[in-house]
Amino acid sequence: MRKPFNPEKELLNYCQHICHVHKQTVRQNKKTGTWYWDYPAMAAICHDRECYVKRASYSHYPQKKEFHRVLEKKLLTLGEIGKRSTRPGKRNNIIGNCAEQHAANIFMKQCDEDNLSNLYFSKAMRPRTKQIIDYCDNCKDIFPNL
Amino acid sequence: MKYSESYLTNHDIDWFGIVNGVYIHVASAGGDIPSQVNDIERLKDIHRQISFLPDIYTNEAIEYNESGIANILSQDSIGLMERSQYIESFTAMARKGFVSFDRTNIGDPNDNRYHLVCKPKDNKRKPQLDGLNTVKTNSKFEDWKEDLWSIWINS
Repeated sequence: MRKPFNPEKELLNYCQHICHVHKQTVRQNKKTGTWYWDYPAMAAICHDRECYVKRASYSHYPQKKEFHRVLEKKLLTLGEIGKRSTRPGKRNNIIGNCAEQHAANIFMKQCDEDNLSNLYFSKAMRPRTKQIIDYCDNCKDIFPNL
Repeated sequence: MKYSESYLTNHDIDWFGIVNGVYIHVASAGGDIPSQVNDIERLKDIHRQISFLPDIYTNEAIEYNESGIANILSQDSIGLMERSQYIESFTAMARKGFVSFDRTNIGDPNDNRYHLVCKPKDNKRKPQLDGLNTVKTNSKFEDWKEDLWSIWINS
C-alpha cells in the first residue's frame, strides 16, 4: 500500500536537486538562460489532499506559458499575467511568477484537476539556504487552502 | 544587458564586488542588485571564472557570524532547516577568498540590509579574478568587530 509523502521533506529533496543542478550548470559552462544557472528565489510543491500526488516548481517568469484555464481566470482577477498586481494594501508581486502558481499549473494540467480548492501546498522554500518563506498575498488570494 | 526586474525577483543571484580592497560575495535572495554589477554577460563570466577558482582557504580557516546564523535558524517554523544547509554556498565562496553576505530580510526585496555569513579568518589572500567592480556600502571593512557584520549595500 502506498504511503503518503511528507510535503516538506519532498520539498527539501527538490531544493537539494536544484542546488546540485545549479553547481553542475555553472561548471559545465552551459549557455546563459539554462535552468538553474542562478538559484531560483523560491520553490514549492503542489499536492492532493491525501499527499499521494505532487508536482514541484520554482519561481520564474511565465514567458509563453499557458496556464490552466481555471487558474488563468483566477490570475486575471488580480491583473495582467506577467505584471505586478496593483491592489492597495497588499504586497503586489508579479502575477504568474510564484513557485506555487507554477506548481499548481503543472498539477492541474497533468492531473486533470479543475478545482483550486483541491490544491494543497508545501511551505515555500528558498533552495539555496532551505529557509521557509511566507506565502505572498497573490497566492493567498488565488488558492483557498493557503 | 541588465537583468529585468522580473528576473531579479525570481532568482537568488550570486554577485561579487570589491569594497575598500575586500572581495565580497553577496546572495541577492530575490532582491535588487547594485547597478555596478547588474550586467548579465559580465556576471555570467565572473560566475564561470569563480566556478574554476581553487579553494585558497580550508574549512578550518573560515569564521562564521554565529549570532547572525542562529538568528536565521531561529526563524525556521518547521524545523527542517539545518545550519550546514544554510552555510553551504556561503562557505564555498569564503574558501575561495570572499567575504560572504546574505540578504537579511528576504521577505522584503526592497530592504538592502545584508549580514555577514562567513569570511576567511585572516582575509589576506585574494581570489585571482578579473572584472570585479567596486560597490558602495555603509562599511569600509576596516574593522571586523561583530557589530559591523550587518551592512547596507546601495542599489
